[in-house]
Amino acid sequence: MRIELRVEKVSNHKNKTISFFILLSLITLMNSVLAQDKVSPGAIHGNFQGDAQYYNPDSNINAPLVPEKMLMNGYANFNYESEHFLAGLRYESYLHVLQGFDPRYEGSGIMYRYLTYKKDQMEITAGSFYEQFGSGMVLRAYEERGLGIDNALEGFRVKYTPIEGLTFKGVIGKQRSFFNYGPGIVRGFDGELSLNDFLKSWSEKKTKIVVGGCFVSKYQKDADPIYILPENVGSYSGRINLQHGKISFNSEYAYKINDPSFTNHFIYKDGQCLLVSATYTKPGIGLTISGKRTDNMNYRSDRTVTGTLLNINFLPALTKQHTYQLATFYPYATQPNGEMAGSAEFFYNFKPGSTLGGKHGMNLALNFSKINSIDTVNTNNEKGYTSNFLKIGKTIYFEDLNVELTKKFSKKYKMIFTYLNIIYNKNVIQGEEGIFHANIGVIETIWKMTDKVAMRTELQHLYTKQDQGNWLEPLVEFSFSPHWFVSAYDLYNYGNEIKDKQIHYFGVSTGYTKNAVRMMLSYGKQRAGLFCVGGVCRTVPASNGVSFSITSSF
Amino acid sequence: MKNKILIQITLGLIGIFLYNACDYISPPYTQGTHSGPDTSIVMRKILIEDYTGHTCPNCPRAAEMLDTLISIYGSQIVPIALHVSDYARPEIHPDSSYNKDYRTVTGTDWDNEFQVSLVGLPHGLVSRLDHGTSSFIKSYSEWSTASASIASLAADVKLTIQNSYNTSTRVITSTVNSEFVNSLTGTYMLTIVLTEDSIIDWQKDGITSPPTNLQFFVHKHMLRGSLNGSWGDTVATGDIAKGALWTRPYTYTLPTNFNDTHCKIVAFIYNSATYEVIQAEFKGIR
Repeated sequence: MRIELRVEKVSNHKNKTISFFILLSLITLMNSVLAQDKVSPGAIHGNFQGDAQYYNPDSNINAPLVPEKMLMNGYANFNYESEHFLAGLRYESYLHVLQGFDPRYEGSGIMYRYLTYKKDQMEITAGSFYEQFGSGMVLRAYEERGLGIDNALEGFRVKYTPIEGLTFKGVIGKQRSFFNYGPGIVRGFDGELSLNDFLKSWSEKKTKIVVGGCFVSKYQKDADPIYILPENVGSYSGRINLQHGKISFNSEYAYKINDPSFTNHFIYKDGQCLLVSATYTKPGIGLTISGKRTDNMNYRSDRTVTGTLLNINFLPALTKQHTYQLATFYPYATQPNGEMAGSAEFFYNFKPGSTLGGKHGMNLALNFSKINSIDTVNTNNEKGYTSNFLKIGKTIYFEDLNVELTKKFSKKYKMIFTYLNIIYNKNVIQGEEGIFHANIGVIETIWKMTDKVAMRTELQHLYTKQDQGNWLEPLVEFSFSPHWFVSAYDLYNYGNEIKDKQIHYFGVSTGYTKNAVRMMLSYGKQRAGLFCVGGVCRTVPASNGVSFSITSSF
Repeated sequence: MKNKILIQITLGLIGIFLYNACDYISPPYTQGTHSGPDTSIVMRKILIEDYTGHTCPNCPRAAEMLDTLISIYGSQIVPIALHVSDYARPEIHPDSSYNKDYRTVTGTDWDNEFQVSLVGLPHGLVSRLDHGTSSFIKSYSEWSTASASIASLAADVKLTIQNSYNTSTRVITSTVNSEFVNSLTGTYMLTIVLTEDSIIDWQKDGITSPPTNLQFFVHKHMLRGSLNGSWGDTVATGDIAKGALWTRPYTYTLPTNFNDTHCKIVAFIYNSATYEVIQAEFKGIR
């Protein structure tokens, strides 16, 4: 009843309230029918996540006054699953939206709900669904809650496997945009063939081959008084995955027809993207080399929007995603308008007993990534530019060379040494002035003090002559198995040229975990910056306050 | 056999779909000349609020879009450029760049209410359409489509402005008259603001990488203040009869640093429940 009242308070959500109760009724009906038929009645499972923060204004760090004082984002998933039938929904509440997330999420309601029926070779979903074709360069509907991204499709999806090894997918729908849907319709087909499953003569072969292809088209009405715009914009891709023993090779090429949009400054050029990756692995050693060329591949179901809204496709980043706080200061955001990216990753395990491995062994991980512009020649017309496919542009967007050495000294003591050398072109990545060169070093120690108590420390340092200068961060964390942890850190901008800006961003936090429930309480100052996942970023404003988060599942 | 037929049907459908789902555009890429508003009836004007700031590198593109729309729709576009948020905060630099504060109480009130700058600049509102939906705050590339959706609509209200300006006292008396051309229901508010054109000052421009600091950027349609507060006065409420009239004079003393030859009075009437602007008008003070 509580949910019902809340939903009705929000305009535009009446239909979602109705769908919510229809779904509940269907689940109840299914359960009773299946119970009567002595068929397994299925199971209901779900989870909840609540993130709340109390904000203090802090002019020192430009943390704004938040009139509501406290804001919260909450999500609750409920899923029903039986042999042939699945149903689910997610109730979301943003009262009001946490700082740093798009304020247009404000409100409560159910934007994600689905019914799925699957039997034999067919699976049909009605309602909301996430989907990805290949690596996502043509279609990826996904949720990344930390970034405020949810571009779920609302419509129908059909999956059909006529023969083992061959799968077709078809989707049609509109993408979610906050508590509404984008104006465009997305239609797509995908086919994937696993030769080793499809052909009996290949089933025992050492070489594994999977090929696939997809086509996606979006429709958006052209009501623009200035431009003649394509209402149907098609995009397709072909892909191959090869594996032979220790070597694997993956590649996908995607193409998009003319798609003038806000993001590409309304040029009528076609777009393309090529992703190639080769890996060699055997126990104790691994090498991956990847390359990607992107040219005008921003693809959205609304040509006028910006940011992370209504993206139909996803262009994977080749850069390493770091977790240490100072290492995340300069994250790379994929540039869909054009980039030439390359990366190499190598790991090696020095065996216990070897000269460098010592008694307990040692792991070495090397990673290098570099992203430049593509080479372009301006055409001074609506096509925008021409570009030589293989030529690398002169502008460096990002470069990251990092080394990680993990050394176990005893069964109870381990150290991780990390070094990063980063070049960050803020002009391109954030549209603000600055090209920064940073050196970052981290020493992490993990000490199992007793069977139940462990201590983890981090000492991080960032050195740069640009931006806000040098930073230092010590961190200490104690975990008391199996329920509690407590940690404290002090992120200190001691190298800032402006004395008043030599700020300590300190923080303390504690967490409690029991069964499927995890709670965390934190207090501290957070610096403004970028938060990125997989090359997609959102701006996080500075804040000062108490935050509380809870997650649970059933 | 059955499977083979199914696969063939599926591939056939995909082929048809592929063939039909692409629109290749060849030159010309732009629409023909706009026919202009129907002058035989009172047409609805389009209020475009451009939320901007002098250190916002992409904001000049929004200003260009506003120019383009004015070149298409002429005086049917009623523009206001509001400097808001940290992008409009004065800065201290040796060359005195970006040291002016062009933020206004009214602009900040609107931004706090509509949360445009939280979405990021530049963004704007077109006649405050779609309030309460995710389409309310519009990127500048959405302004043209939104404008087109209003441009051919007849107005529900006729709005006129008569200005008298005393050059020695710098007092403006602006008399605003409204006449409801159709009967309406609801509460309608009138807001009257002052804009100033052709202010030459610094602006960051991100068309280059790194962004250029333009010293002599021409800031147009800049919101400078309000004659009747941020949310205005009620002109009619309840069941409003066709022909309902409302008139009131407002005064405003022009600060000495405002160029009176570049100042305009902008008046607009909006529905207090939906914020939708049903009519707007502007007139120079001299």
